[in-house]
Amino acid sequence: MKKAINKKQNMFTLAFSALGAILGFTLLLITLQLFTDVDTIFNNESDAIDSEYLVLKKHVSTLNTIGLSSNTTFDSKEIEEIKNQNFIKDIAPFNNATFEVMAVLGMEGGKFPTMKSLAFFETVPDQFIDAETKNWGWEKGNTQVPIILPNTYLDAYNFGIAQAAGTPQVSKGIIGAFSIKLEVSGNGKKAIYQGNVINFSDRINSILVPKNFLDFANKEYGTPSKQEIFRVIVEVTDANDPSLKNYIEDNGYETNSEQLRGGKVEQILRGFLNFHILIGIIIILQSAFLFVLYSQILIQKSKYEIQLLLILGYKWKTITNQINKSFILVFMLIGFVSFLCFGAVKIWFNAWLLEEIGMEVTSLASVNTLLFGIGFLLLFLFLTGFNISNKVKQLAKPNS
Amino acid sequence: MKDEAFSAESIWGKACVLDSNLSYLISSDSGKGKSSLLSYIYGLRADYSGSISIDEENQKNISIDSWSKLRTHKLSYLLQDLRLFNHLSVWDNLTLKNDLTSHKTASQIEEMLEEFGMLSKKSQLAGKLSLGQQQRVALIRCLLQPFEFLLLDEPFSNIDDTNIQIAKRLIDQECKANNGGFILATLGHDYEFKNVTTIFL
Repeated sequence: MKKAINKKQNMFTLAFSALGAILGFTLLLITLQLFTDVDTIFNNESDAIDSEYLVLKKHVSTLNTIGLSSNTTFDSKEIEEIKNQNFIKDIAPFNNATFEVMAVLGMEGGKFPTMKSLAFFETVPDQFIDAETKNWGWEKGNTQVPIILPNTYLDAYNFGIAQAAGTPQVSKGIIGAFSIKLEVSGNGKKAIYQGNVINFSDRINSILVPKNFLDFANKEYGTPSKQEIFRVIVEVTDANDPSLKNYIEDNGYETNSEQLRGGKVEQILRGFLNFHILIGIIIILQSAFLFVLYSQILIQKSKYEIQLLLILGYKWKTITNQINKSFILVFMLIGFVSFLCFGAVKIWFNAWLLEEIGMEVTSLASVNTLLFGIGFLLLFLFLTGFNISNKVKQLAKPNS
Repeated sequence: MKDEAFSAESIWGKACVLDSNLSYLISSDSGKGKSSLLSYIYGLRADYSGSISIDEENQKNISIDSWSKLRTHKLSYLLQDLRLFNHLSVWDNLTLKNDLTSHKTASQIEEMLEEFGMLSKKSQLAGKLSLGQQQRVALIRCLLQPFEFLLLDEPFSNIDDTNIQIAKRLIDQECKANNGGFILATLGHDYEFKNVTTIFL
């Protein structure tokens, strides 16, 4: 029976439809994968354009400086109110040191200048820190204290101080070699700790130490009752939410507007990807349409043979299955080639991202992408199969 | 059975019962609807008024799948335009039917070809055969299934007397073997069939 119907395949039309389908498919797979990748980049990795976290503070005016205006601290009622807003997922205060810290930065060998500066410590809960917090812990009696510095400090040194003083620039990796001497004093006591920079943070513009160290040191050298909250860090669902912006403005809070702009970058990028997906879907639908059309032409051309098989007593289902079989083969081929093309583009794109932008995306394809791809293939198969069986059934009905 | 249907007047507009133990000749000039009647019976066309029942079931209620069963077990049809797969060999054309019914063995089919003197054409493309040869292939094909009625639409129009005799013998033989009859449409020629009822259109 195979011989009876399959002679009418038009290779040119078939190849053309297949090419269109492969193109659309590859595009769709790539776009779906990009969606997942963008998600990973924006949500899981530390990056300057991360917009999930915002640091809120109150406006400091000249009146504050001369001590005339209301305070710039957050009280527990305010924090509670912020927490209750529906666009706020989580909130945590910055706990600060109530004692004096003097940081002395230097390196053995004398190539670098020794710097001495008044410093401060703060602490936020671990889940708000956008850096690896390995070795992030302190125990009483330990003179070594892990600290996390803002990225901006490193930049300020590398592109400011190092240029001006003619000293070498340093990388993140080498910073571990620096010893930061921390001279802590207060309550008539004095102590020296060794600060170990374990990481840098984009999100938090402050010198962070483990919370138990700060609590201990505040009790020992400071006045815990003097501890006030000047800044809070909030986790938001969408930094671009207009109600969030309005809320911040209405309450006279300030935030890092750069972070909001990062949210915009993400939004634009997502817009582009949406557009891409749309195009991918349009191409797919068009090639699906081509296939339906092709199957119709095939049936039209094989009308004599199909009718004859029906006259001989072949069941319409048997005939339909036979025609569908050849289409399943074609679709499997399309799927296979598309996945190959997609893989090749993705490998190239991953390499490009790493080289040009410095983002490392190691995944080749997510489960979602694969599921979507297979889903679309099945949809194709279903559409064509449905159309074929309909047409054959029509031929099987007596002419009236 | 109403005898009036089988009078010298036209059958159209009257009721009749066709008994599969008997055989019939449908005789008329061309253009009176012989072929139409056969394709109505075989369920290929339904553009008629009135009703046709097969085994007391109204034909218009028969499902597509049941038609397939009827066409492999009860009704066999040799169309006037033969309907062979021109791009397939004689053998493929025959086995395409026999694969469906498993009615004959390969050697039985070869014997039938042999009787018609066609065995040497076994692997030739059907489209390359003469009309007479095609008619013989088509006739063999419609015998490759069990049937109650064999519908034959001018089956001898292109073959010579010798082959007509062979064909008649084959048809008789198969009718007996299957306990069935035939309905043969002809342009007035009765081909000297015995024991047949003539229906006029």
